[in-house]
Amino acid sequence: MTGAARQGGRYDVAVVGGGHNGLVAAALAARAGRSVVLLEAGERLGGMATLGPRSPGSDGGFDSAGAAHLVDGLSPALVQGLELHRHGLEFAVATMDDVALLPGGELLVVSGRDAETTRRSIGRFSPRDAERFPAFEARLARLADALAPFLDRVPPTLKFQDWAERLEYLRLGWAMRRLGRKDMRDLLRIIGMNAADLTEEVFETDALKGLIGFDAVLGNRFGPRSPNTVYTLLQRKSGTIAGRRGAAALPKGGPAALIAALERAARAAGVEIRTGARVAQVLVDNGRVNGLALADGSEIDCRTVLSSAHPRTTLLDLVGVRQLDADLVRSLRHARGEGGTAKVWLRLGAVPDFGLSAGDLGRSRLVFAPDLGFVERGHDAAKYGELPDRLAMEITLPGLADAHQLGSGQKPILSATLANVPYRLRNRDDGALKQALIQRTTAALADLAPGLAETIEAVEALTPKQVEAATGAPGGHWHHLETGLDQTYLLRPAPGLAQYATPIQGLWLCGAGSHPGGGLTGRPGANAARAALAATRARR
Amino acid sequence: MSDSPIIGGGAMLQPTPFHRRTAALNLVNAWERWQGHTTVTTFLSPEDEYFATRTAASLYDVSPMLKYRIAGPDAEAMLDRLMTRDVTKLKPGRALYGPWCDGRGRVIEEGTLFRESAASFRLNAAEPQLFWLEDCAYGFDVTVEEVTDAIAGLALQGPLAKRVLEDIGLGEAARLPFFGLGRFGFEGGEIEISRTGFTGDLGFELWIAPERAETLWDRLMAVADRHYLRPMGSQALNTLRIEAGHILINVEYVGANHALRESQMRTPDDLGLGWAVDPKKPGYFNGRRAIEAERAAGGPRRRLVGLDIEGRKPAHAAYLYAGRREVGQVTSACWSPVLKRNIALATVEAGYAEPGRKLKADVYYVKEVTQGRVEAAATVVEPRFYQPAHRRG
Ligand SMILES: Cc1cc2nc3c(=O)[nH]c(=O)nc-3n(C[C@H](O)[C@H](O)[C@H](O)COP(=O)(O)OP(=O)(O)OC[C@H]3O[C@@H](n4cnc5c(N)ncnc54)[C@H](O)[C@@H]3O)c2cc1C
Repeated sequence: MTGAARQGGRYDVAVVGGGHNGLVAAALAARAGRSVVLLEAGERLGGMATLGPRSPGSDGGFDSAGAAHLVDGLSPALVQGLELHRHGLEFAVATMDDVALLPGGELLVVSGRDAETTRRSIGRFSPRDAERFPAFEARLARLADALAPFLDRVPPTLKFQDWAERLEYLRLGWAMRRLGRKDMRDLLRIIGMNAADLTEEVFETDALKGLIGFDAVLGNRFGPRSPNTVYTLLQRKSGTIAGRRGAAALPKGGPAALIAALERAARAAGVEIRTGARVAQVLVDNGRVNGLALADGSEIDCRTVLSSAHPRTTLLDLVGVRQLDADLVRSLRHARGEGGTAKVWLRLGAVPDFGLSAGDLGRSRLVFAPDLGFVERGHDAAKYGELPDRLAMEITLPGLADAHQLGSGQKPILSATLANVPYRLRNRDDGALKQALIQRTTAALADLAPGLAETIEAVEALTPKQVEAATGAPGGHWHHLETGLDQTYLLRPAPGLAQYATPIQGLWLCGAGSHPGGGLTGRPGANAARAALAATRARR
Repeated sequence: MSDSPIIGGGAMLQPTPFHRRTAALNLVNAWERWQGHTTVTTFLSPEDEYFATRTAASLYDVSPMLKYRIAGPDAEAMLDRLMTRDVTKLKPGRALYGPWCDGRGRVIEEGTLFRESAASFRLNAAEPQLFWLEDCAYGFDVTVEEVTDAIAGLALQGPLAKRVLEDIGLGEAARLPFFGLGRFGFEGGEIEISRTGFTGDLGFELWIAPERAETLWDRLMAVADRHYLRPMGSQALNTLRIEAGHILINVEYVGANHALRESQMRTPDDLGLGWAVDPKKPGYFNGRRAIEAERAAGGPRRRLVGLDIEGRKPAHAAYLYAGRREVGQVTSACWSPVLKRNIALATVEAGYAEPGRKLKADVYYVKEVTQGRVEAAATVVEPRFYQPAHRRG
């Protein structure tokens, strides 16, 4: 290709996708001295995280809202390394309380800050459970601690060829050894189990079991009785936010503010960011990256590409099956990633009455999953392409803790993340799904918060299909690909691709589809950037 | 016929379209199974069937061979990605032989690809390939269809094969070039003929609709005595293919999609099929990166070789030694009547695979009801033991 034809410019590294992982990878590459361009197909940065209710016809007033309302896994190393606080990242609430909503208005509170509140609240349902809860939390925390070191590291191959690899195994082995024999046995016993069985071994309170079961499945298309949901629960608990393991934080300004901090960090490091720049093809010459072709016909000259697009998009569409081995194509095609999570936002004329003060509401992650059967039955319906009559959900009212997140007219926005939503609704189109989501969510909330229904000023919804359409991730899955044990670590996104490298030299995967998965962690982006930088350094 | 639910309501194995004819001639009633069909092991004398092929001509029923039609605008591109050879260079009316590999460069199988027209190909295989072919078709505008039962096949092999064809009105087919393929009028219908085969001799394979198989057989057998044309079974064929140095799946190697142990899988270079990997072909093919990496790292760890073994006792499954070090094992062995040599195909460590290398073979043989054992000198040679000039002529 001649230089003249490549009017897209010349860079050491090009990053595909301006979701949070793309921004992280770009910023790290630029900080390592590379010239970097980031290409985002949409007009907006943030990918799924900032995917908001701003569809045509929406009356606005939801400006700060995005699909991801809470942050629980953001890598502390990254926050520090990219100086995200200096670039504007703040938490309005560092540690959210978990509040289980029950029909009839009862509440069960698991406080992030005060163990005594938790003990008293659980104790109203079962003194026995109140007594057991701290030990259970500590147990999960120890096991999650053992998983945590895996999250920030590039998974090793299974080849044991070089010393760096062997060292990696030693390091991971050491992390497990530190668990001690008893916890190690516990981990091995429960990691493949389902979350329902585990909680039933310990607790008798339906509300508590429902809450834990919900946390184990949110984001994936699982029910609490699906295998290895203890693993997904532990993974969720393995993050540390604002110094607390397993907690959730509310970013000040919402997900958009987190993305803005990442954008500032990237620009400060010298990243050139282009929106409205859809990558059409990864150009391959003799098995190596030889640039990118954009949808507008221009070409980027580069030898290293980090793609945060879905692994299937990156390899099957942007590279193309003709450059790949058929068995790899098969495993990518079979990788599960049909989304099961949707959103509904309500702008409310008044603070709703969930039995909590406005201040407490702002600090709370409300979960409606009153018992395990409720969540499991929802999964059963979704599994067969039906929308459950009653939806399990996670709710925040961020504006009550952070004025930046109030809607127009300074009105609170209720952000509901819905589990068990079928990607493919049987016999009905996505428009019907959207209407049903709104109707069932508002009906449920009307029961839980008397008078809420009358104060609704505007509503919006986001279906998995819309997530897919807006981000290009086939399936519109929270994690791009489900994070069951069979799609984790050495097997993520598919066997042979776990080290972020692809068969195309110079092409790396850096999005949620890679280890350790989705959520606003920045870890796939950071790990991939590290692997790619190490490889190019070695070649120089 | 029994209705027993255990035995089942019908024959377990299917007869081939030539069955009625071959059964009538199968004097020792020796049958074996081949991909769900019964085929002949020997009609009476494997030696006679063998010599007919090497000195005159023979007929061998290849109908059970699995056949797949791959057609559509992307058929060439899809097959070029499948096979290690450059399929874009294969012209309509030609065939090629070559392996196909998995993503790690391990041979799934090898077989013959026939280009029937610009956009339609047929691939012959010994083991089921539909699953793999469909995987390989993803992203290409092609259809893949198994056509095994729609085509009867008969191998006509031997130095007099051309004359036999001429005698039954297929003189035009007799002039096909080596690995050529064509359709010809025959007995009021059509027949497809390719200049291919598994015996290493001059020969053809005849492909015809199953309902016309017996007509073809009868026309050929009507001129049999004029040319010493004899029906042949698999036993004679095995000697012929070893002499020709043709490898056999599940004997020289196990296909990568079926092997249970990694150690049993083979790359094309392992199997001596390096010549069939085209490093200059522009397109990517399954396993290319892995094969190139193996080559860059110094080549395969073991190789398929031919052996010339002293004495007359076939070295079936013999271990091979260099001094006291075990360096390989025989996979196929026979006494070659035409060469008057004791030959074998073997897999040996790459460091012991160069022609001329002297090894020792630990040969066991049957001595009435006991086993005898000799240590025989074995010399590494090119595996194509018998390659008569008339094969291509
Ligand atoms: C409904 C929902 C609610 C969620 N809630 C939370 C939450 O509360 N907390 C949390 O931590 N996580 C949440 N998540 C998960 C989280 O949002 C995602 O895991 C995360 O945003 C993924 O980030 P990413 O950068 O890897 O990929 P993405 O965000 O998907 O970004 C990929 C980007 O690549 C771009 N792209 C794709 N193809 C091309 C191309 N060809 N050329 C150029 N650009 C391209 C896309 O436009 C997109 O911007 C939620 C997810 C969903 C769906």
